[in-house]
Amino acid sequence: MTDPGVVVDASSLAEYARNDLRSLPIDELLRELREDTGGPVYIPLLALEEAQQILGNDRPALARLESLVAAHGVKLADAEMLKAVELMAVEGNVSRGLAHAALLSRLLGTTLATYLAPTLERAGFDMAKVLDLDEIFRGE
Amino acid sequence: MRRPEVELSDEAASYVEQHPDVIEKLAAGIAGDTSPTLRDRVRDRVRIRLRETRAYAASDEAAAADEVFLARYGLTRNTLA
Repeated sequence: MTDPGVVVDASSLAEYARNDLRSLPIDELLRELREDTGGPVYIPLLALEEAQQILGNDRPALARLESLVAAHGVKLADAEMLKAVELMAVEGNVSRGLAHAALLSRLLGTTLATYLAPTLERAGFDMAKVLDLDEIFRGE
Repeated sequence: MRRPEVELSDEAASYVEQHPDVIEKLAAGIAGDTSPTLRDRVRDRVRIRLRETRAYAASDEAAAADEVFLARYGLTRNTLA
């Protein structure tokens, strides 16, 4: 089966960029895709912008994020997508970056990796397609 | 687990004895690295969950649910992502 890949949201991107303990699941996810399945990593533009805002002036983190973007590229949002993002952001009470990531993952039929699984669940998202990164640490 | 080379109060020593997992995580965070065991456990869990979500995403059930979800926001699977 060809791996359809993974969409990452702003929370995943920010934690990856900080390069600390909470980066570990993303590191391992990227390694799995790179070395095993060959699946693509999708970075939604609006999620990237949110991650950059979260990181503020953390220059090492921004540099790590930039390297990730250089390796995988960014998925832009056309007018139709932007309209859908606005709708979902209002209806689901989620950020625009999370809405972009969620919608993109459904369009592409991919897994969505996030540290915000409870927020998505409250917005009525299908959790069977979500890689809950906090869950990875449960039981530790 | 190696005992810390510092003198701890009885209370602290007791906590260290009873919560080796917490101490391991703290040590990993402070060192900016993680023990192979923690990394291995995380790797296994990521792998398992990724396989589960991927298998579900490839199912007809997921495709049907996707169409319903996307339609709420005026999108279809044919939309240029």
